[in-house]
Amino acid sequence: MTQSLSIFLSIHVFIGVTGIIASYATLIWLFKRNIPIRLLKISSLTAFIAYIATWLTGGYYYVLYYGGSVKPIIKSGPTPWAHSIIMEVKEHIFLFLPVLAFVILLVIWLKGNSLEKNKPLRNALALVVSITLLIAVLMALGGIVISGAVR
Amino acid sequence: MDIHSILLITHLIGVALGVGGATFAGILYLKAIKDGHIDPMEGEWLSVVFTVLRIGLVILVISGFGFFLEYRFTGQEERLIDPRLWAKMTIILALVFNAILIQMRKIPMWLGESLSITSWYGALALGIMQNADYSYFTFLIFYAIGVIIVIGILSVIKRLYLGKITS
Amino acid sequence: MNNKKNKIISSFAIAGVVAIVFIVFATIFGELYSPFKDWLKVIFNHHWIGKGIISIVIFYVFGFLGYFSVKDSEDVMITILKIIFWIALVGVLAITGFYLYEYFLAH
Repeated sequence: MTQSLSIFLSIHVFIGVTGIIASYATLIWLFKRNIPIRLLKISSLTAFIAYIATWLTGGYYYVLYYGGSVKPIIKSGPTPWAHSIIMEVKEHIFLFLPVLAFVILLVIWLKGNSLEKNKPLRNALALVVSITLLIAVLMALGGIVISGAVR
Repeated sequence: MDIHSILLITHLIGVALGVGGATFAGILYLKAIKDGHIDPMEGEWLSVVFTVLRIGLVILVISGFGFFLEYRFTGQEERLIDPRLWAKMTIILALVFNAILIQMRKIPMWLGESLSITSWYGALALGIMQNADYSYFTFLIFYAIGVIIVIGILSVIKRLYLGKITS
Repeated sequence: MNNKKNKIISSFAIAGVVAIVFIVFATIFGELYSPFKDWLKVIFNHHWIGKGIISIVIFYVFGFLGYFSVKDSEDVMITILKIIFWIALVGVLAITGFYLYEYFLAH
Protein backbone atom coordinates (compact mmCIF):
# COMPACT_ATOMS: atom_id res chain seq x y z
CA MET A 1 0.00 0.00 0.00
CA THR A 2 1.36 3.42 -0.94
CA GLN A 3 1.80 6.12 1.67
CA SER A 4 -1.03 8.23 0.21
CA LEU A 5 -3.43 5.25 0.37
CA SER A 6 -2.40 4.58 3.98
CA ILE A 7 -3.13 8.21 4.78
CA PHE A 8 -6.53 8.02 3.03
CA LEU A 9 -7.40 4.83 4.94
CA SER A 10 -6.33 6.39 8.26
CA ILE A 11 -8.38 9.54 7.59
CA HIS A 12 -11.33 7.34 6.55
CA VAL A 13 -11.16 5.44 9.84
CA PHE A 14 -10.69 8.43 12.16
CA ILE A 15 -13.31 10.60 10.44
CA GLY A 16 -15.72 7.66 10.47
CA VAL A 17 -15.18 7.30 14.23
CA THR A 18 -15.72 11.06 14.57
CA GLY A 19 -19.07 10.62 12.78
CA ILE A 20 -20.05 7.82 15.18
CA ILE A 21 -19.10 9.93 18.22
CA ALA A 22 -21.07 12.90 16.81
CA SER A 23 -24.18 10.76 16.18
CA TYR A 24 -23.86 9.24 19.67
CA ALA A 25 -23.57 12.73 21.20
CA THR A 26 -26.63 13.86 19.22
CA LEU A 27 -28.69 10.98 20.60
CA ILE A 28 -27.52 11.52 24.19
CA TRP A 29 -28.12 15.29 24.08
CA LEU A 30 -31.62 14.85 22.63
CA PHE A 31 -32.64 13.24 25.93
CA LYS A 32 -31.14 15.82 28.30
CA ARG A 33 -33.66 17.66 30.49
CA ASN A 34 -32.47 21.00 29.07
CA ILE A 35 -31.70 20.12 25.44
CA PRO A 36 -28.45 21.89 24.43
CA ILE A 37 -29.51 23.16 20.99
CA ARG A 38 -26.15 24.76 20.16
CA LEU A 39 -24.29 21.52 20.89
CA LEU A 40 -26.87 19.52 18.91
CA LYS A 41 -26.32 21.81 15.93
CA ILE A 42 -22.57 21.26 16.16
CA SER A 43 -22.85 17.46 16.61
CA SER A 44 -25.34 17.02 13.75
CA LEU A 45 -23.22 19.15 11.40
CA THR A 46 -20.07 17.28 12.46
CA ALA A 47 -21.76 13.93 11.78
CA PHE A 48 -22.94 15.02 8.33
CA ILE A 49 -19.51 16.40 7.31
CA ALA A 50 -17.77 13.34 8.77
CA TYR A 51 -19.94 10.89 6.80
CA ILE A 52 -19.34 12.82 3.57
CA ALA A 53 -15.58 12.97 4.22
CA THR A 54 -15.36 9.30 5.18
CA TRP A 55 -17.34 8.47 2.02
CA LEU A 56 -14.83 10.31 -0.19
CA THR A 57 -11.71 8.97 1.51
CA GLY A 58 -13.07 5.43 1.84
CA GLY A 59 -14.32 5.55 -1.74
CA TYR A 60 -10.90 6.59 -3.00
CA TYR A 61 -9.26 3.66 -1.18
CA TYR A 62 -12.02 1.23 -2.20
CA VAL A 63 -12.09 2.08 -5.91
CA LEU A 64 -8.34 2.51 -6.44
CA TYR A 65 -6.87 -0.15 -4.17
CA TYR A 66 -9.33 -2.51 -2.46
CA GLY A 67 -10.83 -4.16 -5.57
CA GLY A 68 -7.50 -4.93 -7.20
CA SER A 69 -5.27 -5.69 -4.22
CA VAL A 70 -7.28 -6.56 -1.10
CA LYS A 71 -10.38 -8.31 -2.44
CA PRO A 72 -8.45 -11.13 -4.20
CA ILE A 73 -6.52 -11.86 -0.97
CA ILE A 74 -9.73 -12.06 1.06
CA LYS A 75 -11.57 -14.15 -1.58
CA SER A 76 -8.76 -16.70 -1.68
CA GLY A 77 -8.23 -16.70 2.11
CA PRO A 78 -9.93 -18.66 4.90
CA THR A 79 -12.78 -16.12 5.29
CA PRO A 80 -14.06 -15.18 1.80
CA TRP A 81 -17.40 -14.18 3.36
CA ALA A 82 -15.64 -11.12 4.80
CA HIS A 83 -15.83 -9.69 1.27
CA SER A 84 -18.86 -11.51 -0.16
CA ILE A 85 -21.12 -10.60 2.74
CA ILE A 86 -19.56 -7.97 5.02
CA MET A 87 -17.92 -5.73 2.40
CA GLU A 88 -20.85 -5.95 -0.01
CA VAL A 89 -23.30 -5.02 2.75
CA LYS A 90 -20.98 -2.30 4.11
CA GLU A 91 -20.38 -0.52 0.81
CA HIS A 92 -24.11 -0.33 0.01
CA ILE A 93 -25.64 0.37 3.41
CA PHE A 94 -23.05 3.10 3.93
CA LEU A 95 -24.83 5.11 1.22
CA PHE A 96 -27.78 5.61 3.62
CA LEU A 97 -25.63 7.61 6.04
CA PRO A 98 -25.19 10.96 4.21
CA VAL A 99 -28.93 10.99 3.46
CA LEU A 100 -29.99 10.24 7.05
CA ALA A 101 -27.41 12.63 8.51
CA PHE A 102 -28.70 15.45 6.28
CA VAL A 103 -32.31 14.89 7.39
CA ILE A 104 -31.16 14.94 11.05
CA LEU A 105 -29.20 18.14 10.38
CA LEU A 106 -32.26 19.82 8.86
CA VAL A 107 -34.55 18.89 11.77
CA ILE A 108 -32.08 20.15 14.38
CA TRP A 109 -31.11 23.35 12.57
CA LEU A 110 -34.67 24.28 11.57
CA LYS A 111 -36.76 22.93 14.46
CA GLY A 112 -34.18 22.69 17.27
CA ASN A 113 -36.01 25.17 19.49
CA SER A 114 -39.22 23.14 19.54
CA LEU A 115 -37.54 19.81 20.41
CA GLU A 116 -37.82 20.34 24.17
CA LYS A 117 -41.56 21.02 24.10
CA ASN A 118 -42.52 18.78 21.20
CA LYS A 119 -41.85 15.25 22.48
CA PRO A 120 -43.30 13.41 19.44
CA LEU A 121 -40.88 15.35 17.20
CA ARG A 122 -37.95 14.62 19.53
CA ASN A 123 -38.83 10.92 19.66
CA ALA A 124 -39.23 10.66 15.87
CA LEU A 125 -35.86 12.38 15.42
CA ALA A 126 -34.31 10.05 18.02
CA LEU A 127 -35.45 7.07 15.92
CA VAL A 128 -33.66 8.48 12.85
CA VAL A 129 -30.51 9.24 14.88
CA SER A 130 -30.62 5.70 16.36
CA ILE A 131 -30.68 3.98 12.97
CA THR A 132 -27.91 6.31 11.75
CA LEU A 133 -25.78 5.45 14.77
CA LEU A 134 -26.50 1.73 14.38
CA ILE A 135 -25.49 1.76 10.69
CA ALA A 136 -22.33 3.77 11.44
CA VAL A 137 -21.31 1.34 14.22
CA LEU A 138 -21.96 -1.63 11.92
CA MET A 139 -19.74 0.03 9.28
CA ALA A 140 -16.89 0.36 11.77
CA LEU A 141 -17.22 -3.23 12.99
CA GLY A 142 -17.43 -4.43 9.38
CA GLY A 143 -14.21 -2.56 8.59
CA ILE A 144 -12.41 -4.40 11.40
CA VAL A 145 -13.66 -7.80 10.20
CA ILE A 146 -12.64 -7.04 6.59
CA SER A 147 -9.16 -5.89 7.64
CA GLY A 148 -8.84 -8.97 9.86
CA ALA A 149 -9.57 -11.13 6.81
CA VAL A 150 -6.52 -9.78 4.94
CA ARG A 151 -4.22 -12.62 6.00
CA MET B 1 8.46 7.62 21.56
CA ASP B 2 6.94 5.37 18.88
CA ILE B 3 3.30 5.39 17.75
CA HIS B 4 2.51 2.15 19.62
CA SER B 5 3.61 3.67 22.95
CA ILE B 6 1.59 6.85 22.29
CA LEU B 7 -1.50 4.75 21.49
CA LEU B 8 -0.98 2.57 24.56
CA ILE B 9 -0.63 5.56 26.91
CA THR B 10 -3.70 7.26 25.37
CA HIS B 11 -5.70 4.04 25.64
CA LEU B 12 -4.72 3.62 29.30
CA ILE B 13 -5.71 7.23 30.05
CA GLY B 14 -9.14 6.50 28.51
CA VAL B 15 -9.53 3.34 30.60
CA ALA B 16 -8.36 5.13 33.76
CA LEU B 17 -10.87 7.95 33.26
CA GLY B 18 -13.63 5.42 32.54
CA VAL B 19 -12.92 3.09 35.46
CA GLY B 20 -12.39 6.01 37.85
CA GLY B 21 -15.46 7.81 36.49
CA ALA B 22 -17.71 4.75 36.79
CA THR B 23 -16.50 4.11 40.35
CA PHE B 24 -17.01 7.71 41.45
CA ALA B 25 -20.37 7.94 39.68
CA GLY B 26 -21.49 4.97 41.82
CA ILE B 27 -20.13 6.49 45.05
CA LEU B 28 -21.52 9.98 44.40
CA TYR B 29 -24.91 8.58 43.35
CA LEU B 30 -25.11 6.58 46.55
CA LYS B 31 -24.21 9.63 48.67
CA ALA B 32 -26.65 11.77 46.70
CA ILE B 33 -29.67 9.51 47.22
CA LYS B 34 -29.15 8.87 50.94
CA ASP B 35 -31.48 11.78 51.84
CA GLY B 36 -34.06 10.63 49.29
CA HIS B 37 -33.41 13.22 46.60
CA ILE B 38 -30.58 14.55 44.44
CA ASP B 39 -30.07 18.28 45.16
CA PRO B 40 -28.71 20.67 42.47
CA MET B 41 -25.11 20.59 43.77
CA GLU B 42 -25.08 16.77 43.81
CA GLY B 43 -26.60 16.76 40.33
CA GLU B 44 -23.82 19.11 39.21
CA TRP B 45 -21.13 16.76 40.55
CA LEU B 46 -22.75 13.73 38.94
CA SER B 47 -22.93 15.59 35.66
CA VAL B 48 -19.18 16.38 35.87
CA VAL B 49 -18.35 12.72 36.57
CA PHE B 50 -20.56 11.55 33.66
CA THR B 51 -18.73 14.01 31.38
CA VAL B 52 -15.37 12.58 32.50
CA LEU B 53 -16.73 9.09 31.85
CA ARG B 54 -17.75 10.01 28.31
CA ILE B 55 -14.40 11.68 27.63
CA GLY B 56 -12.76 8.43 28.77
CA LEU B 57 -15.00 6.46 26.40
CA VAL B 58 -14.14 8.73 23.45
CA ILE B 59 -10.37 8.47 24.17
CA LEU B 60 -10.69 4.68 24.51
CA VAL B 61 -12.54 4.31 21.20
CA ILE B 62 -10.27 6.65 19.20
CA SER B 63 -7.07 5.03 20.50
CA GLY B 64 -8.66 1.61 19.92
CA PHE B 65 -9.10 2.44 16.25
CA GLY B 66 -5.50 3.68 16.28
CA PHE B 67 -4.45 0.13 17.26
CA PHE B 68 -6.66 -1.19 14.45
CA LEU B 69 -4.71 0.87 11.90
CA GLU B 70 -1.40 -0.10 13.47
CA TYR B 71 -2.25 -3.80 13.11
CA ARG B 72 -3.45 -3.25 9.54
CA PHE B 73 -0.30 -1.41 8.44
CA THR B 74 2.21 -3.66 10.20
CA GLY B 75 0.92 -7.01 8.94
CA GLN B 76 -0.68 -8.04 12.26
CA GLU B 77 -4.18 -8.42 10.81
CA GLU B 78 -4.74 -11.72 12.65
CA ARG B 79 -4.94 -9.69 15.88
CA LEU B 80 -8.14 -8.10 14.53
CA ILE B 81 -9.99 -11.40 14.84
CA ASP B 82 -8.77 -12.13 18.37
CA PRO B 83 -11.78 -13.18 20.54
CA ARG B 84 -10.42 -10.99 23.36
CA LEU B 85 -10.61 -7.91 21.12
CA TRP B 86 -14.17 -8.74 20.02
CA ALA B 87 -15.24 -9.41 23.62
CA LYS B 88 -13.80 -6.01 24.57
CA MET B 89 -15.64 -4.33 21.68
CA THR B 90 -18.90 -6.04 22.69
CA ILE B 91 -18.46 -4.76 26.24
CA ILE B 92 -17.77 -1.22 24.93
CA LEU B 93 -20.94 -1.46 22.80
CA ALA B 94 -22.89 -2.58 25.89
CA LEU B 95 -21.45 0.46 27.67
CA VAL B 96 -22.54 2.81 24.88
CA PHE B 97 -26.03 1.28 24.66
CA ASN B 98 -26.35 1.40 28.44
CA ALA B 99 -25.39 5.10 28.53
CA ILE B 100 -28.09 5.86 25.94
CA LEU B 101 -30.71 3.93 27.93
CA ILE B 102 -29.69 5.71 31.17
CA GLN B 103 -30.01 9.09 29.42
CA MET B 104 -33.44 8.09 28.03
CA ARG B 105 -34.42 6.84 31.54
CA LYS B 106 -35.37 3.49 30.01
CA ILE B 107 -33.27 1.32 32.34
CA PRO B 108 -33.51 1.02 36.15
CA MET B 109 -30.58 2.73 37.87
CA TRP B 110 -29.47 -0.43 39.74
CA LEU B 111 -29.01 -2.26 36.43
CA GLY B 112 -27.52 0.68 34.50
CA GLU B 113 -25.01 1.36 37.27
CA SER B 114 -23.99 -2.31 37.52
CA LEU B 115 -23.59 -2.61 33.75
CA SER B 116 -21.48 0.55 33.63
CA ILE B 117 -19.14 -0.51 36.45
CA THR B 118 -18.78 -4.12 35.22
CA SER B 119 -18.19 -3.00 31.64
CA TRP B 120 -15.42 -0.56 32.55
CA TYR B 121 -13.69 -3.01 34.87
CA GLY B 122 -14.24 -5.75 32.27
CA ALA B 123 -12.58 -3.64 29.57
CA LEU B 124 -9.69 -3.00 31.96
CA ALA B 125 -9.37 -6.73 32.76
CA LEU B 126 -9.42 -7.71 29.09
CA GLY B 127 -6.73 -5.12 28.38
CA ILE B 128 -4.49 -6.58 31.10
CA MET B 129 -5.11 -10.30 30.35
CA GLN B 130 -2.91 -10.37 27.24
CA ASN B 131 -2.50 -14.17 27.40
CA ALA B 132 -6.10 -15.12 28.20
CA ASP B 133 -6.94 -17.78 25.65
CA TYR B 134 -10.72 -18.23 25.79
CA SER B 135 -13.43 -18.19 23.17
CA TYR B 136 -15.55 -15.09 22.52
CA PHE B 137 -18.58 -16.65 24.21
CA THR B 138 -16.56 -17.70 27.27
CA PHE B 139 -15.49 -14.08 27.72
CA LEU B 140 -19.12 -12.99 27.44
CA ILE B 141 -20.22 -15.59 30.01
CA PHE B 142 -17.54 -14.19 32.40
CA TYR B 143 -18.94 -10.73 31.70
CA ALA B 144 -22.54 -11.79 32.39
CA ILE B 145 -21.44 -13.46 35.65
CA GLY B 146 -19.54 -10.26 36.50
CA VAL B 147 -22.69 -8.16 35.97
CA ILE B 148 -24.71 -10.45 38.28
CA ILE B 149 -21.99 -10.33 40.98
CA VAL B 150 -21.78 -6.52 40.78
CA ILE B 151 -25.59 -6.22 41.03
CA GLY B 152 -25.40 -8.33 44.22
CA ILE B 153 -22.46 -6.36 45.71
CA LEU B 154 -24.08 -2.98 44.95
CA SER B 155 -27.40 -4.05 46.46
CA VAL B 156 -25.63 -5.16 49.66
CA ILE B 157 -23.64 -1.89 49.82
CA LYS B 158 -26.84 0.10 49.28
CA ARG B 159 -28.70 -1.82 51.95
CA LEU B 160 -25.87 -1.37 54.47
CA TYR B 161 -25.20 2.29 53.68
CA LEU B 162 -28.72 3.56 53.11
CA GLY B 163 -30.22 1.27 55.76
CA LYS B 164 -27.85 2.62 58.43
CA ILE B 165 -28.78 6.20 57.57
CA THR B 166 -32.54 5.66 57.60
CA SER B 167 -32.67 3.51 60.77
CA MET C 1 -41.90 30.70 8.42
CA ASN C 2 -42.50 27.76 10.75
CA ASN C 3 -44.58 25.97 8.12
CA LYS C 4 -41.85 26.58 5.60
CA LYS C 5 -39.48 24.73 7.93
CA ASN C 6 -41.92 21.81 8.19
CA LYS C 7 -42.14 21.71 4.40
CA ILE C 8 -38.35 21.72 3.93
CA ILE C 9 -37.86 18.87 6.42
CA SER C 10 -40.80 16.86 5.06
CA SER C 11 -39.67 17.15 1.44
CA PHE C 12 -36.08 16.09 2.24
CA ALA C 13 -37.31 13.23 4.46
CA ILE C 14 -39.49 11.97 1.58
CA ALA C 15 -36.50 12.41 -0.75
CA GLY C 16 -34.45 10.37 1.75
CA VAL C 17 -37.03 7.57 1.61
CA VAL C 18 -36.89 7.58 -2.21
CA ALA C 19 -33.05 7.63 -2.21
CA ILE C 20 -32.84 4.70 0.24
CA VAL C 21 -35.38 2.70 -1.77
CA PHE C 22 -33.28 3.39 -4.88
CA ILE C 23 -30.06 2.23 -3.15
CA VAL C 24 -31.72 -1.03 -2.04
CA PHE C 25 -33.25 -1.57 -5.48
CA ALA C 26 -30.02 -0.76 -7.38
CA THR C 27 -27.99 -3.03 -5.08
CA ILE C 28 -30.22 -6.08 -5.40
CA PHE C 29 -31.27 -5.53 -9.03
CA GLY C 30 -27.64 -4.91 -10.02
CA GLU C 31 -26.62 -8.31 -8.65
CA LEU C 32 -29.55 -10.15 -10.25
CA TYR C 33 -29.43 -8.38 -13.61
CA SER C 34 -25.80 -7.84 -14.62
CA PRO C 35 -26.48 -5.49 -17.61
CA PHE C 36 -27.66 -2.89 -15.09
CA LYS C 37 -24.46 -3.19 -13.04
CA ASP C 38 -22.40 -3.10 -16.25
CA TRP C 39 -24.25 0.02 -17.37
CA LEU C 40 -23.36 1.72 -14.07
CA LYS C 41 -19.72 0.70 -14.60
CA VAL C 42 -19.67 2.10 -18.15
CA ILE C 43 -21.25 5.41 -17.21
CA PHE C 44 -19.59 6.01 -13.82
CA ASN C 45 -16.40 3.95 -14.05
CA HIS C 46 -17.49 1.84 -11.03
CA HIS C 47 -20.96 0.51 -10.12
CA TRP C 48 -20.64 1.76 -6.54
CA ILE C 49 -19.79 5.31 -7.66
CA GLY C 50 -22.86 5.17 -9.93
CA LYS C 51 -25.17 4.10 -7.12
CA GLY C 52 -23.77 6.80 -4.84
CA ILE C 53 -24.04 9.63 -7.38
CA ILE C 54 -27.55 8.67 -8.54
CA SER C 55 -28.79 8.35 -4.95
CA ILE C 56 -27.47 11.81 -4.06
CA VAL C 57 -28.96 13.34 -7.22
CA ILE C 58 -32.32 11.68 -6.42
CA PHE C 59 -32.12 12.94 -2.83
CA TYR C 60 -31.46 16.58 -3.67
CA VAL C 61 -33.75 16.76 -6.73
CA PHE C 62 -36.68 15.19 -4.84
CA GLY C 63 -35.83 17.30 -1.80
CA PHE C 64 -36.06 20.59 -3.71
CA LEU C 65 -39.01 19.58 -5.91
CA GLY C 66 -40.94 18.02 -3.04
CA TYR C 67 -41.03 21.39 -1.30
CA PHE C 68 -43.65 22.58 -3.79
CA SER C 69 -46.00 19.65 -3.28
CA VAL C 70 -45.63 18.60 0.35
CA LYS C 71 -48.18 19.57 3.02
CA ASP C 72 -47.52 22.30 5.62
CA SER C 73 -47.95 20.15 8.68
CA GLU C 74 -45.84 19.21 11.68
CA ASP C 75 -47.77 15.95 12.10
CA VAL C 76 -46.99 15.00 8.50
CA MET C 77 -43.31 15.81 9.09
CA ILE C 78 -43.17 13.61 12.23
CA THR C 79 -44.87 10.75 10.34
CA ILE C 80 -42.36 11.01 7.49
CA LEU C 81 -39.45 10.97 9.97
CA LYS C 82 -40.84 7.72 11.38
CA ILE C 83 -41.21 6.34 7.85
CA ILE C 84 -37.58 7.12 6.96
CA PHE C 85 -36.50 5.26 10.11
CA TRP C 86 -38.49 2.17 9.15
CA ILE C 87 -37.38 2.32 5.50
CA ALA C 88 -33.72 2.57 6.57
CA LEU C 89 -34.17 -0.40 8.96
CA VAL C 90 -35.92 -2.51 6.30
CA GLY C 91 -33.23 -1.45 3.79
CA VAL C 92 -30.44 -2.64 6.11
CA LEU C 93 -32.22 -5.98 6.62
CA ALA C 94 -33.02 -6.38 2.89
CA ILE C 95 -29.42 -5.78 1.73
CA THR C 96 -27.96 -7.94 4.51
CA GLY C 97 -30.50 -10.69 3.87
CA PHE C 98 -29.83 -10.56 0.14
CA TYR C 99 -26.05 -11.00 0.47
CA LEU C 100 -26.51 -13.76 3.07
CA TYR C 101 -28.83 -15.50 0.61
CA GLU C 102 -26.39 -14.99 -2.26
CA TYR C 103 -23.47 -16.41 -0.28
CA PHE C 104 -25.10 -19.33 1.50
CA LEU C 105 -27.96 -20.36 -0.79
CA ALA C 106 -27.55 -19.02 -4.33
CA HIS C 107 -23.90 -20.02 -4.91
